Amino acid sequence: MPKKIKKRFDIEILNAQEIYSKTFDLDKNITALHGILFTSDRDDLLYYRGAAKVELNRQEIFPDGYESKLLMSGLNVSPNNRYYNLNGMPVGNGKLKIDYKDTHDERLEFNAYRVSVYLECEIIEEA
Amino acid sequence: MIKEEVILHRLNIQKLGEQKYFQIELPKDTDHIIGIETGVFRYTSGSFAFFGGSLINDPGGDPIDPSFKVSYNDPVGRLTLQTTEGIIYQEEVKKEDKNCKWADFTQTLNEGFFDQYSHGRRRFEDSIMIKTCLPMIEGYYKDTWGVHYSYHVEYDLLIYIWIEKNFSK
Repeated sequence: MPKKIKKRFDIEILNAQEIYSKTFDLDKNITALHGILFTSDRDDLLYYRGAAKVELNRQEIFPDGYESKLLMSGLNVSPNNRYYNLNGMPVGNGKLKIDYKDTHDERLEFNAYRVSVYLECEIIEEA
Repeated sequence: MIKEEVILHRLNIQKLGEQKYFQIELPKDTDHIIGIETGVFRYTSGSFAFFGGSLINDPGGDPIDPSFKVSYNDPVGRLTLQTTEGIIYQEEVKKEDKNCKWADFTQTLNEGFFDQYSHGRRRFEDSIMIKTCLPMIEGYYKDTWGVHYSYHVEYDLLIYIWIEKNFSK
């Protein structure tokens, strides 16, 4: 019976206005993705300065420059509704590529911060 | 099989009241346009009353609980999109929702510690359902942010076009 679990992947943003490209290998027992969520240890920096391209199995989910705030959920959102719905996307080769770009925004000065990407994954449990 | 995709179009605005005409090319196999979103990266510096936005309904000595005051959302510009079907979308682009803390009694205790980046509501694109005959959108944008503050504001306006492709044909 399929079971859903949450996975977290981190990207450390150390310099302003740079692109951080990371590829994460998903576990072999993950068969599909149901949701994605962006958070940070500095929500405000992620909100005003963040943009990311997301690819799964070389298939683009969000294009280059897609603002990360569109994939954030505040604490006022019910925990059951926080993830962006990916409708059980097959993982293919299991490679999740994220090109995160810190963009200058006059409203908030840069500080080093961490971006965390949460995935809602469907796994097959071994008998 | 139906697949959703998002197309991003970026406009750089530099001058007060700048107007731009642009075209957004869609993939040739686009079936429907299903949603529009917008966002802004602001580049220029300058004095800008971000958190202390003017409050409407705020006469001096007003006894209203601050939690129930309604803040004015700064306008960024006016956006119009059209296809061969005619105008499909018109919006007054807003920078953000300053009223996300409305009626939250804890805000007076935690003022400045949270905002919509931590307590914001869930975001949805504006849903539309337009069949495209020609994979092209024409757009027109007029800046009102600079006009509002009477100085040149440089920013990137990001327009997201959600489309649907049907592979079962």
